[in-house]
Amino acid sequence: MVDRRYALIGVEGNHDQAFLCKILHKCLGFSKFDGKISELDTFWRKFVPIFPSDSGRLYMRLDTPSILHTNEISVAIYAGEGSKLVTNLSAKLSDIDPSALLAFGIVADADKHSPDKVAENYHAGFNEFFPDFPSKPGVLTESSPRLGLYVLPDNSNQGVLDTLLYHCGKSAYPEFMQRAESYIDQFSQEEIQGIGWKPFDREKAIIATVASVLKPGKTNTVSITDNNWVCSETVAAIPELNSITSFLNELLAVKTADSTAL
Amino acid sequence: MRKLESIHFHQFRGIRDLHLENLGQVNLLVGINNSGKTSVLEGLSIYCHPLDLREWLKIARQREQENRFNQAPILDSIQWLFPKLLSHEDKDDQPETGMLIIEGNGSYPVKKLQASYEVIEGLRISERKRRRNSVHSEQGDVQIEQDEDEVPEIHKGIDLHLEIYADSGQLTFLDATPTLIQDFQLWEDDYTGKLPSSGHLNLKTSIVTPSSHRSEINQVKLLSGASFQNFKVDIISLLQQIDPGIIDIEILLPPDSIASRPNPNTYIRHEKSGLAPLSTFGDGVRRLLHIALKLASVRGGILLIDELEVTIHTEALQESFKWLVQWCKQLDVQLFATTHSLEAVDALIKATESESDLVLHRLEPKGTHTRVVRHDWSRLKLLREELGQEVRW
Repeated sequence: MVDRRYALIGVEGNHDQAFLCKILHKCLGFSKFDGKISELDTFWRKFVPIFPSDSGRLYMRLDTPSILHTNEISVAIYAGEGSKLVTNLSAKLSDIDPSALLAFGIVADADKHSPDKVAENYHAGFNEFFPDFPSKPGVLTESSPRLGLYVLPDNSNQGVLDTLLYHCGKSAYPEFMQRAESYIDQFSQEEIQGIGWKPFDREKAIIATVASVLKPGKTNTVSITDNNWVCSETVAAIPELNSITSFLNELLAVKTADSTAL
Repeated sequence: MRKLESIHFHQFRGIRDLHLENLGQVNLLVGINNSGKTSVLEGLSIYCHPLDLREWLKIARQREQENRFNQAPILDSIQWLFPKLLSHEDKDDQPETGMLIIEGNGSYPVKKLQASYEVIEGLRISERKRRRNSVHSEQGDVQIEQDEDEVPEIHKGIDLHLEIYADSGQLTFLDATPTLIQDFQLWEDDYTGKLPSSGHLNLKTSIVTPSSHRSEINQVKLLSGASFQNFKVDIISLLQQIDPGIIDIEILLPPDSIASRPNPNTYIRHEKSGLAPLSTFGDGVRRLLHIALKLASVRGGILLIDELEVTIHTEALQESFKWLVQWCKQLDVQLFATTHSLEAVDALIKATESESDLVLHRLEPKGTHTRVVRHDWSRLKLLREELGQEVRW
């Protein structure tokens, strides 16, 4: 049996986590871990949180990572609590042997700052463990472990995951997207100001509208997982999606029949 | 600066290349069985008594204390402090040798202890026989038997060579030549009392083992010392964490004590049972008292506790540890403790309140070294209290 290697990817929220899982599963041939602790790879045992923690917050979401694997690689996608990603993931890294990883990567977004500024922050944040962690977005360092940083939507423009999903939706569900946009555009500037939208909330509202039609009563994460926002057609049609898929492929040094087509 | 800021066990007992960096006031050692936690405590004790071979022997035999009548011979005990090299078994023609090296940094002047031994054989009159004959002579026993006993026999021994590197006066140790070199010859039939026992360069340390509270040797002496330091009132408040009915601790002569050979004992005055010997109380009370008295005895030094949580009920852990941390600070004592208990880790996090108060070191043996994962208080608090993470392995 081939010794399995391990990779850890940090993201800022559940939607990003579901998005990466979908790419790994659908495009790069990874299988999903079914969540049974008896079948958990022992390497990830330290990532299983104990509930209730001592924080006193009983409704706090558990930060169990999503785990996917091939015969050779096991990948954990850890969702930090947004701005706490560096703090929480650093604490996790401090308790394992980071040099045992095949790869470590971050997929963040650029909602408040430019991708360059986001990259600088993550470079500084993980310097304690990985001095070679990239200081530029979209860069992959072929060290040991392999290190990579991708800033959504495309490493150059400001935006979020939904900015990219917007393009995916236009390709996979053009009619639904058009109707959702028409619906959202009915809201006046005054109404939007009253609700208090932040930058990129228009894209988020459109994606959530279509997701709610595709999976009524479910969350965006369910729609990202079950519907065709990410599929071979959208990967082929949307350069930004192709770009992050290629990035993950290189970060994890994956060699599969599917990945060679990227 | 702390007495010890860092310690590096190059080789000692079964541990190799183990660094403990940025030590705190309280240092918690965790790790799987056989990861070297107890050896670290023993190594620290040896390092802080570099010329006191009686202390070395005491430490070497610490794990046998439950079995005093079947202790390993002196030489074996001392030799087991040194790493066992498998290559010895292949080289019949070469004398068995061993070397231990411990290096440290901090205000304690000793910076490096390097000890080596070589097994020797020699013709000598047994020390035990010499002593016996001396007694016989005094009693006028038969001269012939004495002469036969004085025939030299082949005995096993070791040449022990110690090199100590230390700051001296205004001079700072620069890793050039040893500050002190001492050579000793130890023989298999030596008496413990004959071992060299210099207090030069000693730093006060004391070990609390999981069972040492049951052997109350020196307990009375320790308690007298504690009372002298006006410490007794606080010890009573500590014991009240376990049993709120405890009122006082006293040293008294048992009723059947012989006037010519007084044998004072420790008694506890309890609101329900009145005055009763300490030995009639539970392990929790006895161990906490033992820890408190040992703490008082090493003011300005180092306290070493193996299995910190032993005998203390989980509900009493936090308050007991608060007391311990407070008095470690007050008495300027650096604490090193091992534990297997997550409850003890959590209780200590709550009993401490700053980065330097508490440091957790997790020992992870690898092929040629022991990897140490270090968590300071704030990271440990985040891992345990926010992320609910297991930190013992």
